[in-house]
Amino acid sequence: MKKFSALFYREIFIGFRNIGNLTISLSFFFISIVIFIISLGPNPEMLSSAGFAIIWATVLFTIILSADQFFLKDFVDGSLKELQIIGYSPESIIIVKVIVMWIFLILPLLLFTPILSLMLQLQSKETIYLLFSITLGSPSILLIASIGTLLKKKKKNNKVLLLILVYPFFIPILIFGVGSIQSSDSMVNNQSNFLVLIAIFLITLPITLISGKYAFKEVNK
Amino acid sequence: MFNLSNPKKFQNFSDTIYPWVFYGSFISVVIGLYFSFFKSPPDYLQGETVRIMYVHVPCAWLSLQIYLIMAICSFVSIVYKHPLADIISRSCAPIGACFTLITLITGSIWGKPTWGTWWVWDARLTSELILLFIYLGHILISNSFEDVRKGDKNAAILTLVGVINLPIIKWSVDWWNTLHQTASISKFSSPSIDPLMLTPLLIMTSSMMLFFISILLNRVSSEVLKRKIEIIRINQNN
Repeated sequence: MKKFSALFYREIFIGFRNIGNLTISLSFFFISIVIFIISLGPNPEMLSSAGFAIIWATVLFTIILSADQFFLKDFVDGSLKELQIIGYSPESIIIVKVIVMWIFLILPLLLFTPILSLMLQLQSKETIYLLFSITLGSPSILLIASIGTLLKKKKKNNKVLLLILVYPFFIPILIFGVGSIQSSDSMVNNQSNFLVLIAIFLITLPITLISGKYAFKEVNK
Repeated sequence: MFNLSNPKKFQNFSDTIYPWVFYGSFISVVIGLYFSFFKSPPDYLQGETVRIMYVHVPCAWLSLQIYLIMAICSFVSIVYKHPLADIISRSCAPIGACFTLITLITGSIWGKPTWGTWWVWDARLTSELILLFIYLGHILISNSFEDVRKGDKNAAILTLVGVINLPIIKWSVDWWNTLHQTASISKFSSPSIDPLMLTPLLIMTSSMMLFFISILLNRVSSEVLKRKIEIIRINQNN
């Protein structure tokens, strides 16, 4: 457990050192939403009906495009291998990385989301659903994206490859994440959507950890 | 007359005028706030919320002016390769981004009671938001190189390209039929604003300008010192 927290502190420390990357990811998030809005036109009714989906899709793209910054540097300078030699299991490295990614990527996105939903004329009820569904859906997205980044390590600079690798697994998360607003009239449906998101997370967690172990083996070769 | 393009002389000059500018801005913001809260009438349509104007409008003017200063400096740095122009441009960017952010925030606080919404995607607001992103891009690109000078050159090119946004912001209210009101103050014709409201607005504008100049002097002189220290370090290592 002590080793686990040491790894955690290391990742947090690196995250604070690379805080500039966060600015770039947040700017990407903000600007792509602005592009969506400008191309849709300023009609408030259309924006408020499309806003939920726009923000969800943009969160997905932001995660995919900024996921590899958490693994790439450690892979290039060899500390990913070094950590395993010290005795960290691949599972613990993945879990710590995903927690730190959540803190440094999803938390700022969640803080920005209310401002964006004001600009998209979403109602406060929809904003709360949006925050809940992103919070519940993002851990599974991060897990899948981190496995994807491990798999494509050999091709370092190709970010689109990651999207092609992992998008089939994002589709159920996206469906149930966005679905939480489409059925917002009845509370029952809504809760069931949130429950499905939690269930998806509980399924992805073991599967990604097992496949992550094999991905690490491939990386070490 | 002093030759301000020499960094050393600029340093002396800025050290001399810095306290005057700083305390001047402090005193004039107190006077301006007094005038805007007690000596100006509430608007017949908007009521007391019109007092947001005394912060919103000077910040908006400054956000454009700072960009213009940056554009001129970038031009000078590209054409004449003057080091001080790069430093001024680099020091201006965060200040301009702050003023743009204040403009957007006060504007949305003003928009809620008068327009009934925090934000609309009309031309003026969108182009001001794009200005904020240009400022952010300038900050990011000028800091993303190991070599400071390389970052300055790239940022200068970005700034000159972004100048196209300035006239769009300025005349967006005339070109498109927007929710944002058109300009009421112009130097060439008589302004369509009451003198009682114009006085605090002008005092607040001058105080914010003085504040901007004081921060700019501070940042420029610290940047000059930073680069001097770097050169000294490099010489020592050699």
